[in-house]
Amino acid sequence: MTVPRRIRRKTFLLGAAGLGASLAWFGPSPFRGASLAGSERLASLLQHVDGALGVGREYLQQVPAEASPEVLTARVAERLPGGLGTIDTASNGRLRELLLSAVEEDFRDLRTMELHGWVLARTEARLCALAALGAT
Amino acid sequence: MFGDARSIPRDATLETDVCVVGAGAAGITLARELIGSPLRVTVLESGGLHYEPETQALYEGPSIGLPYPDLSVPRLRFFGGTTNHWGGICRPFEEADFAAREATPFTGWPIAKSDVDPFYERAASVVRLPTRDWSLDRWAPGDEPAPLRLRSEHIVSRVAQEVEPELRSFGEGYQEELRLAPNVTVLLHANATGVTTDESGRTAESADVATLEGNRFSVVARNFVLATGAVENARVLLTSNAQQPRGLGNQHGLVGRFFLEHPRFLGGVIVPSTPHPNLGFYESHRVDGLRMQGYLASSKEFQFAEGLLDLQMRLELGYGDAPEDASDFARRLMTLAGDLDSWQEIAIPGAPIPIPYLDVIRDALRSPEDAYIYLRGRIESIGVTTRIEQAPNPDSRVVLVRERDELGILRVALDWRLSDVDRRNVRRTLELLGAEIGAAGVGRLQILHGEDDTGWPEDLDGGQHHMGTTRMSDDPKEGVVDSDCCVHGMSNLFVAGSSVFPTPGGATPTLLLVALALRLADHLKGMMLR
Repeated sequence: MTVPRRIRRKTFLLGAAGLGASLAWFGPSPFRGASLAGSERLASLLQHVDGALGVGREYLQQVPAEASPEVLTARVAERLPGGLGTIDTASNGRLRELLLSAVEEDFRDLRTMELHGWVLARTEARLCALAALGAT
Repeated sequence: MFGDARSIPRDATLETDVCVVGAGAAGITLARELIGSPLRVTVLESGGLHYEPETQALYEGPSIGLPYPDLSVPRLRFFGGTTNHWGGICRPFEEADFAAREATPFTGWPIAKSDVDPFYERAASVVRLPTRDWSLDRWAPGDEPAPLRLRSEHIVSRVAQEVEPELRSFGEGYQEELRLAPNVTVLLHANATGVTTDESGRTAESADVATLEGNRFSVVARNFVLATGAVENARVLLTSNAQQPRGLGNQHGLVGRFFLEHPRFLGGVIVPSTPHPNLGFYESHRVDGLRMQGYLASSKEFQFAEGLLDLQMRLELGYGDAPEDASDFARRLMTLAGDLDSWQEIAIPGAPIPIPYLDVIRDALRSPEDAYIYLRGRIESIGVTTRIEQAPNPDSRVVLVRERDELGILRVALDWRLSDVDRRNVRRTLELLGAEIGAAGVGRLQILHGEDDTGWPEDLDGGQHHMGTTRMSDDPKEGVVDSDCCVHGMSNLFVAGSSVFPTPGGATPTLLLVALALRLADHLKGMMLR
């Protein structure tokens, strides 16, 4: 079987281990000069930001109503126990667990989106969108 | 016994009780079932015992629809028929496969699985399957290889058994039995060029036979069975038009229509979460010495809920690069050894370099397959090949063309067409698969074909499963044969093989077509011997 070039592993490392292996804690922030601590923190969890940018931009095109860091952060927070406060106060490990859990729950409840063909959980798609916003 | 049509006196008339046209899976099964009965059986086989290019060329026919190989490629025209290159994959239809889908026109069988079940048991023996058990418990008794633990009931794992390669050819497997059968005559190089009926056109009287060498004769029988495959069965009916200008059984223009396949293409790719996911269940492998492969499929509940037909998904593991040279191979061996906690203990004492011999490594790992996979590299991607249960489509058809073959018989062309429901089936099922594998932590799925795509992928192919051209229905306006596989409007002309499938099901066709041939044999015996 010839695998199309576009699906080689490195092109989408967000999927390398679900969020489990791709959320790198305290990685370099994609935000430049923004003071949105919550969104910045969420976006910084993505280890392979380059891979996330494309699908993040696609998300923003498909869901323009969420094309702001505040809205995206709020939407992600809705999926976390404790809401926005959790993003600000939870330990890295705890936040990671909660995001993974939210992603799994999204998949289980079919809260998914198709972005550039990738079937993604809503929560991880929003993280990608946050990264895309930070890169612009 | 065997005979050769080239040595039959020209213009002779042979008499028999049952004339079977074609010696493939269906024809041979029928003939075997009649061995030892008081009935005289004549089997007309176009080819010899082995491949002959001149005979194979009689199958040539172009594709005028979706891309498809020339019709001489998927089929084989010699004793044993297409079983001579059969892949040996077997799985029975499920009860739901026989049911009509309200949202999809022309679906459903006039018979139920319970009508076929007794024959499935016997069919499994005919195709030489060692067990009739397709349950996951039977085929995944331990932890590895094991089916994915998916959380919903939308996507399920299924098992297909594989007949051992040396047992797949009906020609090789049953030649001796037929040779010794006193009441069965297999005539090789006997091409049935048509069926002649009485003046009413309702009773078949003889099969017209020709050889490539120019001999011609006829076979008179009480009953006739066409068992030449879905393309050729339609061709014989359409060209047998002396009394019925549109062809036999074609009073409603259905012969050759509803050509069905199991279309397949690379529908998506999974990027796995780990380099060595436990997906061996979905590769061809052995369990207790028996060959099988697992695959994913949409569940019947999901299909009915969504108004879709069946869809199978084969996982094609894409490994990283193979070792480039000897030193790379050695390096990988070292890597492998390094992964073993106690590799020093199993290294060969006195070896010039501390590389364990491969057989020692194999002993240390769970199976040779593990070592092989490891040496080949990491799994970088997993192709998801989708195989669709094609929705019945009257415009997908076999048609006569102007060109004639060496025997003067009109050739056919294949106008293969798919429907929007097929496209929707792939997308919807892959969307759910993506969610399932995400939830299970297997990885992420990319669907390769966009929702707005109106064409079909370049790698679209068929499974070489030809079905539907003489579909079964109790209503002559909706089918060519009735539930007993008798051609509507005819009293003694029957059809065997997957051309009678009105809906193709999610399973490969061979096991069911053999079961139906057994059922037809019982019907003929019951009808002729009472």
